[in-house]
Amino acid sequence: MRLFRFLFLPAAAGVACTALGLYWWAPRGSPKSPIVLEDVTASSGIQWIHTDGSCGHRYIVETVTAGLATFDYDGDGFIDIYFVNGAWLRGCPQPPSHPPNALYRNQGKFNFQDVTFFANVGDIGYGLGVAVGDYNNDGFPDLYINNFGPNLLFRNNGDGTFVDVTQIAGVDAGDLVGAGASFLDIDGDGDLDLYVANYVDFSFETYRPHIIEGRHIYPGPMIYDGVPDILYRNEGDGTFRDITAEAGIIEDGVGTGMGMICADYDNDGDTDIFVLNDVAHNYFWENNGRGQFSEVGLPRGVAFDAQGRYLASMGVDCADFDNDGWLDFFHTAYSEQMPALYRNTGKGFFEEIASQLVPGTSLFPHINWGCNFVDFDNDGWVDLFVANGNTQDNLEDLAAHITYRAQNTILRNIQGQRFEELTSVAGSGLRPIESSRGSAADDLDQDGRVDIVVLNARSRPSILRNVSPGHNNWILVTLVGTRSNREGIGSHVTVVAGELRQLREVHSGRSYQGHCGTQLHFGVAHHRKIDRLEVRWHGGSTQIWENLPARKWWILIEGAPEAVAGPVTPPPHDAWPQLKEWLARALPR
Amino acid sequence: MSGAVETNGGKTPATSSEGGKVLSASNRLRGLIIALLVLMLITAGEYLYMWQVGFFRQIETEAEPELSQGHPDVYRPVADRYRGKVNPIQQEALALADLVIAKWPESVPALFIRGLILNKFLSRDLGVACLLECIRRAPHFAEPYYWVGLDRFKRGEYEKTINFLRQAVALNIPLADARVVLAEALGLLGRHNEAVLVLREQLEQMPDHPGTRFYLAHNLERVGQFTEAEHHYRQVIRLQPDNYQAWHGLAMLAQRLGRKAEAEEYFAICRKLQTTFHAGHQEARRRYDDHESLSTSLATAYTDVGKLFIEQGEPDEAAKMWLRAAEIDKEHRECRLFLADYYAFRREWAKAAQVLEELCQLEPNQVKHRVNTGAAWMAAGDYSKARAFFEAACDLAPNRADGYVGLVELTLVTGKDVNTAVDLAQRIVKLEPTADHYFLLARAYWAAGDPEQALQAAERAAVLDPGSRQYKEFLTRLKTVAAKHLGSEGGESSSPE
Repeated sequence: MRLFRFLFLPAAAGVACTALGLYWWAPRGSPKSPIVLEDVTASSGIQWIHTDGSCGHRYIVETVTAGLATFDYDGDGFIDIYFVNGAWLRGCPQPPSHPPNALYRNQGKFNFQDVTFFANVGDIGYGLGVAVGDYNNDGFPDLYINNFGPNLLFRNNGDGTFVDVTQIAGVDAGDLVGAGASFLDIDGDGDLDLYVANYVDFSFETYRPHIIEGRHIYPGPMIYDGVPDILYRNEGDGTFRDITAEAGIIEDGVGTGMGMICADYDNDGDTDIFVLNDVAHNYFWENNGRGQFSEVGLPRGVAFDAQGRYLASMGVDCADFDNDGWLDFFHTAYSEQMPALYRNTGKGFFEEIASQLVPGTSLFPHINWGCNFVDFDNDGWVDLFVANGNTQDNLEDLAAHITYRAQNTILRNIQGQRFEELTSVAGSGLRPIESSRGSAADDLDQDGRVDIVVLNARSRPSILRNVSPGHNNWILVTLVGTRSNREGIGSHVTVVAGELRQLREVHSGRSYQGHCGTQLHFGVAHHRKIDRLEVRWHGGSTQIWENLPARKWWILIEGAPEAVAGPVTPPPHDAWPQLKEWLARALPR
Repeated sequence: MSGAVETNGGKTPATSSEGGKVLSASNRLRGLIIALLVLMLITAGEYLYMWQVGFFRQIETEAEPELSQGHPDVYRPVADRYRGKVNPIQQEALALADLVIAKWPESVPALFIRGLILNKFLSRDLGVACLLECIRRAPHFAEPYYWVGLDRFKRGEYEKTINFLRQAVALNIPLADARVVLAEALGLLGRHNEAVLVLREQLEQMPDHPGTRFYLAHNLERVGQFTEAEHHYRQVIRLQPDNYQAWHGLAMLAQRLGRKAEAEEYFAICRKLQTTFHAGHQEARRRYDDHESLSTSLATAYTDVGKLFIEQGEPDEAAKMWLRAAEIDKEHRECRLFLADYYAFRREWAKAAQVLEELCQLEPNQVKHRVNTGAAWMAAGDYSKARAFFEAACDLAPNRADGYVGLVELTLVTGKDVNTAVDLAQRIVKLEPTADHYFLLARAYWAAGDPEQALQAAERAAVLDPGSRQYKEFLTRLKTVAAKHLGSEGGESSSPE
């Protein structure tokens, strides 16, 4: 202590004086961190508060709600937000009103309007996961909600409203504890099929309190059996058919599904399925190109961590973090576990290298949930955002680090070689201490810098505006499929700008039981143009565009030779007079 | 256009015309010079003061900065304050933690035990505060470094973990886990080469420690030494054929080296073993309360406090602790071992035998428990029970000498059926030809009235262990007695013992 005091005092005085001098000398607002996120929740207009329905019973489902989705539901070019909510649970006092899921329409400039009731998506079931995909290829993304209880499919009517088509479509999945979900085209027929992950066989009837060290705490998943996932095939007529077993999705009985993502990891043109399991080995369902799957998690190297241990896997994202042309995975895990970073070797298997590349200081003590590969500083290398928080809310007296609420994490990618911890210097956006669950990454203000939305359990969400300094360039890319599915889900986009070569895939369903990133974002550092942009449409052809200017939102239509530059300012909101009228009525309230 | 990247808070670079918001270049320079001068003056003043107070002499003795961060409850009783707020097991544990510090306020081992109890039953932070206090008071006590290191590891504070565990290792902590966790922390910082060094050191002392070999293999793989990594994975499998993680490591390595068929074979084994492991893990975790494991922890705490009483020369108090431990946890082994020792020390052989019988039930495959129980019954004079336990030991491990040794000793004590004792002793030296066993054979021959054979066996014992004074003396006396015996045929035989 004495050493600290004696060396610290002169050092501190020196730093203070130098800072004072530099305050005059240097330009004001000089950046300390290449990545800065600003917490703009207070001014965002978002008042929604998440509930897990808890009242002391400590049901396991309370710990795992919920994910969220960011997507442009109304086609105005601005990405909107859908929050999934928990609900009243048996044995608890009835609330005065049932808390719904919420849809917030992006009005630009980080201002959001609650349009839940107008849009008819205010489900009051116990929500866990959400996926977005245009299953009927009408140009408007639809919503699938994975609940504890029957699931829901909301078809987007294209006029700002949705309609519940669950029963017609046949995708309610029964009365299970759901998890993540993803739309994917399993057989390249241009229709989006649907994979629904399920968690554990919890029910109120079999519930018993879980007492550890004299405390009534939330149980882990091992106290229950896993519940098999479901694969639905899109029949192309608005209905789906359960083809789980038919497609080879035959589990070994331990599947406690959590987050999931679909990706073509081996560049063979079909989409494979990566399902995280909580305290069990992960499933990797490899597609044979005809919609038949086999589980290959172990030989592909993604079942376990580097030491061959199964983790309490939570959320997952996919990107080519080292720009070697192969998609990699990152998934989060429980406290006192390192998350897993699976580097795709390009030889048909992955190597788990988190301990080599990812500093664990801010991740290891906490449970990590949502995770997003995002190029926050537009340097051409995807960084990482991780949402943290514990499931237990009554252990804080046990140890200072076991806290229900925890700081989220930002890690900067240093040219694919390692990740650097920036959490403490990355601005006010990292200051909220909440028990975060889902996280979504999208450019909410179309300024070329990807922002973050975090769903916080039992609290308001966090809206984090990316205000990172620097002059790096970027492009946004939206795919419009004509022969392949409408949103280009499963398509690969390769962007070459100077020495940078980046690969992205359009995913439906990612992070922690959520969805984001249908609009692709590429940071291209100092390059002012894209030398080459290649789209390998899912199940179809490959198209190439060259010399596209940077700092634009490019809309690429399958089969159309010209790239269309999308507007990067909000279009007039007159597409739907009905919505406008409703908003006008809603505003004074 | 909203897509424009904003800099300087959205402002263009400031100029002197902008209301004097930014000082001119000369003013900036002046500010900087003033700041540097102030810095130099303050630093010089501080150093002068430090020199005066002799600070530099103390630098070397300064330990970890956090050692001075005390916790008010390190020495203060806690049990009463938590009465009614914690369950009865925790309450009893807290009372025990208070007892040790009240009884031995100056004892660091007592504070260490208190730290472990509080860490488990009340607060990890308070427990660690006690352990840090142990380090402050006794910097050469290895165990607290290990436990604090482990705590720092769980917090993701790897550098601190490394510092504490290096200290524990430097102080020769007998726990293999210390180096393993140290290596893991180094690995998590990407310092795999250092981890390899740490584990290699440990391997020299513990070549059959599977954890050391596994982590060594893992770290070697990380630094690209695949051949040696493979060797160590195989060694883990030799030691623990069911270790699915080692099979996974081997499979991944084979895959990485392009040996696909081999990799597939190992993956198949791994999958099978992992399925069994997961089922067992799930079964173990499928409990709605941990009353049982909490009871075990409390029994361990009582056992540790019993050891403290022994160190302080109070064996009867120690026995009370172990009895309570045995009462709380019907399956606690360590407290029963101590209790048996205590009763043996008190020559209360029947009680010792009863405790050892409980151990036999808890660990039915442990030959040593059966042999010890037989020995205790023999000492208690219950030869039939003693024989039953020795025979059970022989049945359990027919190729080990222990049970037969008991039977021979029993025969020598009772003097009945000594010829069988000779046969058994011959079998023993065939199984394990050690000096002890030849000595036993010599005694059996002598008891059977065969001094020549006894002499030969005793000479063999003395050859095998030439340093043994006991054997030499026995041999000398045996020779003397044998000479007398041969010289006065038909005279009374006398014992060399």
